[in-house]
Amino acid sequence: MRSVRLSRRDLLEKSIALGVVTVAAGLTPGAIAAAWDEAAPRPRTPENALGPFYKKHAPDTRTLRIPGDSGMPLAVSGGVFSTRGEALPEATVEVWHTDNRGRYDIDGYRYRARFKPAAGGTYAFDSIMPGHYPDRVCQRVHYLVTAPGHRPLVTQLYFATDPVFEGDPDKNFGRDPLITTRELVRPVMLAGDPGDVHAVVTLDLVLERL
Amino acid sequence: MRRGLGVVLLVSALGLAPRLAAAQITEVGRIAVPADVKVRFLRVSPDGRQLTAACGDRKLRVWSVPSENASALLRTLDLDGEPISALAYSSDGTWVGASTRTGTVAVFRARTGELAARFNTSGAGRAIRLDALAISPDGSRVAVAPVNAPPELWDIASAKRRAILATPFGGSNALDFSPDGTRLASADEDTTVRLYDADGALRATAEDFPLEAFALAFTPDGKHLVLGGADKRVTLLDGVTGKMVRQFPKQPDSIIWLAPLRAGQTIVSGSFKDESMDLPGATLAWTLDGSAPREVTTQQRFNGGGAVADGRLLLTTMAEGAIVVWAVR
Repeated sequence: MRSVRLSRRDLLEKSIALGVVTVAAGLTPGAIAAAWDEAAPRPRTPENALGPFYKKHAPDTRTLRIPGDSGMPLAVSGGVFSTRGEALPEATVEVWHTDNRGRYDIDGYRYRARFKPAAGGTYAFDSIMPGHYPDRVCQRVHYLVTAPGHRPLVTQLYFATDPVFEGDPDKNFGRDPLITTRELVRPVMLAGDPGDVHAVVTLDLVLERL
Repeated sequence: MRRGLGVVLLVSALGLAPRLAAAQITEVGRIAVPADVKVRFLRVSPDGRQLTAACGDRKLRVWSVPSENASALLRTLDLDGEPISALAYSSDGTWVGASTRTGTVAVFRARTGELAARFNTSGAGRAIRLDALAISPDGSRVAVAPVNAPPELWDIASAKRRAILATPFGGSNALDFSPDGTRLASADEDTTVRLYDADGALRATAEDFPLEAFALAFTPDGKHLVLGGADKRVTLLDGVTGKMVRQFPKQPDSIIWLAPLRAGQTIVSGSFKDESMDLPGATLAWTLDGSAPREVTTQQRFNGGGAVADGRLLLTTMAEGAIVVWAVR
């Protein structure tokens, strides 16, 4: 029998999904996982390419989606930590991605944001599922995370539901030559009611001390 | 103020908004590329006598630049099947170098094709893709741009790394040495343009850009740096201080390559559409004295190019992989 190793976060997410763990209203899986994992040493989040189209001076917002936007609503959350497990509320998180047709906004700042985590180091933002940019294989969200005393983290979030993986990201994540680790391909939970389905994804951001 | 706005609206309504003047461009020949070979990108030597092309079969081919529509394949250089990622001539044309997607640098004598050095820059046993390289005019140093990491300066003779340059995050899109070899410029993914001395010490930065530059080149006199990129502009910087000298009007497409014409007084730029970096946009000729750019118009779109120093010809890899020679007036 194949052994399956789950991280504590994965286990928590699975438990929530199966109803083994009941979560009080207002708590996000990311916040719970952050509290659970508080101060435990953590491996650095794998690096990934910065580009294309990083743009400085993105607006300070956690709401990238505006009413009427095409594409499935997406809620991303997680925690920002040091490799010692300390929360890093003083960090700055920058994210950017394409619209649902796979186009980056180069002239403006649609689907670009810059924000600080909450006091416990948790972060969350609302957007839409990005499309496929023709020069890249997979859907992605770009991250640049900086914090005083820490090495900047440049990474990307990929989606296990990406059609490129044909339902088997364990086997097929290498179809995108830029994805060097399965760890950045995150499970997607569908939440809400039939009239308002949205995708929920978590990604922790762990920075190395200088 | 209202009156000014009214004039603008009137001018727009009458269709009198500034338009690009078209440069005259004529196809004067094609370089005979073997039928089973596709040219991916090329560089032209500074003296305009030869070009080196990275080909789809992972070989370098060197052709003489056509005169009277005649060209010759001078040699084929083999990097043992390593995928070629970037090409560069030193500014005096003595050296031509190639980098690969597996971290290798190879430097050749441009005149003979003799291999002067070959080494791998990757560390920790993992191949690191190199996105750009530049060779110092004296052939002693090569600057390389590992993906998602700061540029590095290497000593060619000893194959030792001399310096890791100073970017805080991300990698570098373009590198160039000044013609006198005293300065190295990098266009970095964090959107900053940095100027270093020959030993890799940071001397100046230009941080006024919200988006990254994809192409960068010193003018032949070394006084200026020309850059173009995602901000859809060509910008002229002071080649020593990095201070902005002139920024040309924003264009519809992002600029991906630059090629000097007429001793650097004119720059030809290639671009891509917002939809995809693989979708070529307008090709423009820019006169550095500040006059409006001229669109270089053809029915075809260019996806890469170089130019000979005297400005008579522009050589471009086309989507189908051929090399086409154009006269630009």
